[in-house]
Amino acid sequence: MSSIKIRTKRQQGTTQIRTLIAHPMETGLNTDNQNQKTIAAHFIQTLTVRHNDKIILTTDMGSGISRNPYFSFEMKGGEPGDKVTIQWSDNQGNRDSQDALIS
Amino acid sequence: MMQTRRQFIKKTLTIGGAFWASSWLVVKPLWAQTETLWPTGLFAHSKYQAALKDITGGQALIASKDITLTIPRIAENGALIPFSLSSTLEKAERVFVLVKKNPVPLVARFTLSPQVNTQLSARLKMAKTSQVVSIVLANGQYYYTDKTVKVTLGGCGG
Amino acid sequence: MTKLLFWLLVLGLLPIAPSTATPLNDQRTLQQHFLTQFPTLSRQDFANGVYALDPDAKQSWLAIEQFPPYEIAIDRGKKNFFTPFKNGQRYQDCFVDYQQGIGQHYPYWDLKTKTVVTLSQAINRCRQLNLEAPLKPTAGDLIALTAYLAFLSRDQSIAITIPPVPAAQAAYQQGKNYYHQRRGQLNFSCASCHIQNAGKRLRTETLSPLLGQTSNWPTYRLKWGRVGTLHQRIIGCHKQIRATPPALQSEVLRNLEYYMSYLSNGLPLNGPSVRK
Repeated sequence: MSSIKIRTKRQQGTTQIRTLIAHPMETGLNTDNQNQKTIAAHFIQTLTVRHNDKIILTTDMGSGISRNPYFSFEMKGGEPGDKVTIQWSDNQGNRDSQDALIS
Repeated sequence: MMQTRRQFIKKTLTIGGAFWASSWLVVKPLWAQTETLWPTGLFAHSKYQAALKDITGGQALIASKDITLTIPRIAENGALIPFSLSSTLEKAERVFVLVKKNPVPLVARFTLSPQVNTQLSARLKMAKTSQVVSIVLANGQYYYTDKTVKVTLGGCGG
Repeated sequence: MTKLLFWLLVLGLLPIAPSTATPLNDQRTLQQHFLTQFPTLSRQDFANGVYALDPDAKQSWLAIEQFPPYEIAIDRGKKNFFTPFKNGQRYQDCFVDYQQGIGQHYPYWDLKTKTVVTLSQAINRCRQLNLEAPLKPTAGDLIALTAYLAFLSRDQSIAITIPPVPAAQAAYQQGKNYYHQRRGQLNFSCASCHIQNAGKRLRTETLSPLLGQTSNWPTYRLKWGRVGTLHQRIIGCHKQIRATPPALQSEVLRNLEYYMSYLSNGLPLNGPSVRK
């Protein structure tokens, strides 16, 4: 299962792109209650939004973004059938990507 | 040939040099720069002032009524605070969101192409009551607005 | 004629319930109490808990509900629900009416085993019937399954039944007694905060009323950063008043859930939800 959920909504001449991502966004400052060990920092660093394979927005973030991050963006234009791609990479070398078609 | 060899070489070097120098004038807009390296330096700052200086290069921040930051006055829980940011400033290239008193003040940096409006929503964490600052880089200037969000201890110790 | 009158008199005096405080009476009294205390709220509003009482908190909540983090748990639960057991049987063979919503009937009194059964237990029963190991109450997969079933049960009116058998009535009564009994170093009962001081502030917290407290589970608590259960929340509350908490899915908590849910009969289910 992809970690990325995408919802698009065409409005007056724009397309709202919203995404919810399953990711712990650990700061590296928390301790595990069970074993008293520090939980390693684990957070998305970069998220890109593509429209028909062209980057339209990049988000660089730190662990100050909440767990299971959510973002909403507004793109100019957008036609049914257009492809939106959300991609992320984190500080531990993981990555994921998901496509959605504008309806 | 009218000119001397010396003149010819000088001319060639001058023209060649001009071409070489001008290639530096064609700067790619921020959003089109394909190196997507995470700005480690910006996120390494633990003090707001240092992060701000690194972002603006010392340039002054200009208060702007053309940026709207919507965020709760009192956080339900510091772990997840929803916010929205919109701006009518033209040629906005970057948006920065900072929480002054967070262990890492810089929360996010958005790099915008002309194909997106400056209209964003996200969810951030706050360690304690602090100002939240949103900065928009537009036309080479850094504009900002800020809001204070209270983060409190709940009843019965949270 | 006198014989008929005699028997009518005898039957009329037979104690069907221990006192005039029947469960139905409790339910009506409680609902009326809160509707009177908060005249601007309809019964349905109480299902939103504190968000029905605090407009600022409600704004923040609605912003999160635009694309709520519990959707991740619903997706996981849906995937689990439609994964057949090793023997080829499926969850829908146990929960035949799952599409119409089943959450409004939980917890229920099981006449055979003579105990209150919660949805989590029913899921585990289904697993055990199909030779699968039961899941721990804290298991993400189990919570996700309840999240999916709660999602399908949205808008159903809570419809808990207490059969007229002494053991069921006793379970309800135990739940009620537990709710009203003071405990812990802070010496509070559940009722101290959630009935007597509902709507008031405890530091910056607004105390939610008992009415509607069971409608939104399992819930993504911002404090937990994940979806959790009513029992987990109740245990948290015990710790907050410095009382020894009972075990998850123990008889004590199941009877307490039985009591709490019954009192909210008629309110709409709205889980999974987000709370602070």
